[in-house]
Amino acid sequence: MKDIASQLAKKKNIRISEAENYLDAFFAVIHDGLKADKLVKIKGFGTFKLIEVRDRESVDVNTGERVLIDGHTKITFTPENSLKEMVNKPFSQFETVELNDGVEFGSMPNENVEAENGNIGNKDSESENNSTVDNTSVSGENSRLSVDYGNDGHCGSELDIAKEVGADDGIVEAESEAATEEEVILNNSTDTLDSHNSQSGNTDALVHADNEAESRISFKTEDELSLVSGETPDSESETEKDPSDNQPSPSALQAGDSANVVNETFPDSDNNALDNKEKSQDPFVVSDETERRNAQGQSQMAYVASGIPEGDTRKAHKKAGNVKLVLLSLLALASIASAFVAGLYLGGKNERSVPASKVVVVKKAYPSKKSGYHKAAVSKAADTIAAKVNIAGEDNVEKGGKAEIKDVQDHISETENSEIQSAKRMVKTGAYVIEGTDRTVKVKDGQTMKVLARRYLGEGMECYLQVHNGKSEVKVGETINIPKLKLKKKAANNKVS
Amino acid sequence: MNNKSFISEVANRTGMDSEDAQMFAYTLVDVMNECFQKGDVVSFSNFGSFEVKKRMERIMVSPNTKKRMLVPPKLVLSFKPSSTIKEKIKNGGLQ
Repeated sequence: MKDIASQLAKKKNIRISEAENYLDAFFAVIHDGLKADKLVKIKGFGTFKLIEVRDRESVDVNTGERVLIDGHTKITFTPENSLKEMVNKPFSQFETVELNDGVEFGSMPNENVEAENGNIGNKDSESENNSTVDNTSVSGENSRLSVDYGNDGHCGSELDIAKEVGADDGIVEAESEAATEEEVILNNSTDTLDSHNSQSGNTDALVHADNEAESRISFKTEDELSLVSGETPDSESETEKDPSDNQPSPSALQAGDSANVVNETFPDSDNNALDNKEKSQDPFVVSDETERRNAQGQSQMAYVASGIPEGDTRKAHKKAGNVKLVLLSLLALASIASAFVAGLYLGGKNERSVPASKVVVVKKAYPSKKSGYHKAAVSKAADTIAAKVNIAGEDNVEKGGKAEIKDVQDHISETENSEIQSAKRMVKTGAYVIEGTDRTVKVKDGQTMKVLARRYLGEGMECYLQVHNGKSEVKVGETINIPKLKLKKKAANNKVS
Repeated sequence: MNNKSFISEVANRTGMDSEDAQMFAYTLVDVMNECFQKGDVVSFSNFGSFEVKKRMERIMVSPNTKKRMLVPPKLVLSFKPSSTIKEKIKNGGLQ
C-alpha cells in the first residue's frame, strides 16, 4: 500500500500523505458502494460486484462426512478489457486455433502460479516457466520441453517467491557490477597468467576470460535460475548458485586458466571472442548470436579440457535452445506423421480399402515406386524391366529379365489374388448374399469396378462385383456380370438391433 | 454505482475536483499495471490484493462450429479480498 501511494505521489507530484488519503477514500467508496448497490464500476479499472452464494453440500476432505457450506456473499472483481490486455501482454500474440484431429494432449504438469519479475519483458514464456518452476521445486531442475503451465492452484510459497525475487535482484545488481568487475578480472588474469604465457597467449586468455565472464552474465540474464540451480557440482556452478556472491573473479580466473590450456588449438574462437568483447560493454544486451558464438567457442574447449566450468553454461544454454528445438521438431514430426497416416488412409480408400499391410507389401517389393495405385506401380516396374531386357539382349540379362517379369507377373496376380481374397472376406461378412447374375454389362470408357458397383449395387459394394466376376479390376470393353444380391436376414437384423 | 457517482463521491471525500479524481484513478491503474508487468502482487490493506495468475491452455469445443479449439495460455488478473472487508460485508447486513 505504501509503495503504491509513493509511486502515485511521484507521478502526480503530490505529497505522499495526499496520495494515501486518496487511496483510502478510493477503497472506502468502493466498500460503501458495494454495500449500497452491490456493484461498483470504475472506468479504466473494472467492476467490483457482490455475489450471493447459496448453501452447498460438500464432503469434508478429512473425515469424508457430508458437510454444509453455508451461503455467503463474495466480492468479485472483473477487470476492464484494456486492463486485461495490458496484463496479458506477454501472451498477446497467441490466438485460439482449431485443433486438428489426431493431435492429442497428455495431462500438463502443474506449474507454480506466480509470474516472475525482471524477465517478462524480454523473454518468452518458456524461460518464464523455467524460472517459475524453479521457484517452488526444491531441487531446482530445469523445466524441459514440457511447457509447464500454471493453474488456479495457489502458489502458497510467497516466501519462496520473495526469496527468488530477492535473488533475482541480487543477480541483476551483480550484472551491473560485473561490467566494472570485468575489467578487474581482466587485469587480474593478466597478472596471474603473465608468468605462464607468451604475449599472444595472454591476449587469448584475457579474451577467453572475458568471454567466460560475459557469457556467464548473458546466461544469467536468460536462464538465471536454471544456472543458479545448477546441475553439476563444479565449483563454478556452486559459485553461481549463491546469488549473493558478487564475485565472479575467482571462477573467471579458473576459466581463464583452463582456457589458456586450450586456446592455441582453437584460433577460430578468438575472432568470436573479439566480437563478443565489443559487445561486452553492455552486458544487458544479449543477442542469441553472441551466446551461440560463446557456446561454440567454448564447446571446443569444453571437449578438450576436463572439468571445464563452461560445460555447465553451455549445457544450460543449450538446454534452453534445445527446448525450443525439440518442441519444433516434435511438432514437425507430429504433422508429418499425421500427413503420412492420412495419405495411407486415402491411398487405401482408393483401392477399395485395401488394408495398409497390403500397400506396405507392395511398397516393400518395389521401394522405389511410391504410387497410391500399386498396380500401376507394379506394371510400371514390369515395363522398365521389359525395356531393360530389350535393350540388353544378352542371355543372362534376358534370363534375369524374364525371371523378373515372371516375378512381376506373379506379383501382379499375387496382389490381385490378395485383393480378391479381401473382397471375398468382405462378402462373407457382408449383409448380402450373391444369388446369381442380375444382368450383364459392358464396361464403357472411364468406368472402373468401383464406378460400376456404385451404379448398379450402391456405395461400397465393389466387393460383391469383384467376387462375382473373379477379378479386382475391369478393362474398357469387357463384359461384367452384375450379381443379384439378397439381404442376409439374420445379419441384417443384428445390424439393426 | 456507476463510474460517475463513484468518482464524484471520491472527489467529495478528498476535496478535489471530479476531473482530478478521475485522472488520479487512471494514474493509479497505471501504477498498478507497472507492478503487474513485473509480476508483483499489489495489495491494499483492509481491502485486498490483486495478483497476476496464469491460465493453462485448454481444449474446448466451439458451440458454433463444433470444432475442437485450442485456447492458448494467458495471464489474468485476480482479486482476493482481505478478511477485514469480507467480514464487513458479511456484517453489513445486505438486503
